[in-house]
Amino acid sequence: MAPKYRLVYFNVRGRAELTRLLFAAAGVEYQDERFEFGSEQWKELKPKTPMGQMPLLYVDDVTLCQSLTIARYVARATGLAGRSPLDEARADMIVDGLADLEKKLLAIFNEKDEEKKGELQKDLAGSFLPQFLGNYEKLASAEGFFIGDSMTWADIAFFNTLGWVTPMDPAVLDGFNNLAKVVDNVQSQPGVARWLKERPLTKM
Amino acid sequence: MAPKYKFTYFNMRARGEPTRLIFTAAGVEFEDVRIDFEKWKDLKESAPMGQLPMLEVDGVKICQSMSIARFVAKETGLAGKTNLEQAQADMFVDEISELLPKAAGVHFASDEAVKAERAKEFDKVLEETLGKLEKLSGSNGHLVGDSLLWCDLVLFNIGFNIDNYKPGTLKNYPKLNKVVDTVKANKRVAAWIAKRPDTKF
Repeated sequence: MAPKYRLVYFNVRGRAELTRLLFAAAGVEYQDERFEFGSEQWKELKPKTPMGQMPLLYVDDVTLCQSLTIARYVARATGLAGRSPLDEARADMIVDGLADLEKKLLAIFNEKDEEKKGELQKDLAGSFLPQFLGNYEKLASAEGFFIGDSMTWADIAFFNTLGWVTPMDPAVLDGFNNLAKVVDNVQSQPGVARWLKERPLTKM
Repeated sequence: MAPKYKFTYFNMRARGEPTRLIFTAAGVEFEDVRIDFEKWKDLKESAPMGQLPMLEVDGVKICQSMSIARFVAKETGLAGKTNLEQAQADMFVDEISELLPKAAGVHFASDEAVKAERAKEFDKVLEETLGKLEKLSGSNGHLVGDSLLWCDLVLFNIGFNIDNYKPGTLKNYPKLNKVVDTVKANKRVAAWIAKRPDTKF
């Protein structure tokens, strides 16, 4: 019998959205539990969790933490991880590389000084992104997949992370045709498309 | 014929040693290519994300140190017996992985004042992290389950750096210390430690 999944996180996209997208793409049911920031429920739960952090995935009687571990586990459980060990490794590689971009985005988001923030944004757009997207364009196929000829969690992860860049720079994928196709494939996947319409609208 | 594994990194332990340890513990042959920074300048263009380490197998190039290590762990049977056990091992590796860049930050700081500042930060993070891991660790000499998995080797690897930084730290964490001792007692690992190039980090 299929296990019961309960995902617990704050009421934001943040570090849980990739997992939510994977469940949506695979059409697998799960409980999408959300806490507000500073909630009493989280304060009470925190000491009972493996590492005092969210997101958490409860799978029957096992508790998983670490957002990428959770996403990878769900990708494997729903057939979105890749069809061979080598494909899985290439998908892992794509997702790991995205963490570098996310670190820079987080630094921008957290920067309170407007001038410093502007500098970081300029560096991102002018120097980091062209190099990064250049690498990723070569790794994606013209059909819009990072791995083989079908969607994996690598494609969905790229789509998810890019969702934090496009508000700053809507034309960021101009000239990167393969990557634009990846994004197009993901957002038009039926499960994902439905989730994008239904999901709570949050700032992060 | 079994795939030929070619692992390329700098002549350091740092982000390459976990993978070397996994091949070693499993008794699987691999080409341990170590290049200097000059050679790297020529090679950089051909690396998928312009970074090392890199693994080449069956004509495919994999980068990202933990993706490589996880793949090699799976290939050599050291990843975990079920999907869930693999996720539990991943969980430990994710948490331990946060320590390496911080340890590197302390080790490579050229300015004494900066080094002291970073060491203070690192001490705090180290205590927090080792505390969390001690709580979750198995008590039989393995972080997860009842046999050697790659997460034990990743802990052993960072433990080596921690011991260079502040000798005896792990003795305060008995379960983790037992994991490290169990890895040290592994014959293949012990032989590798004795013969591997001696590098500062």
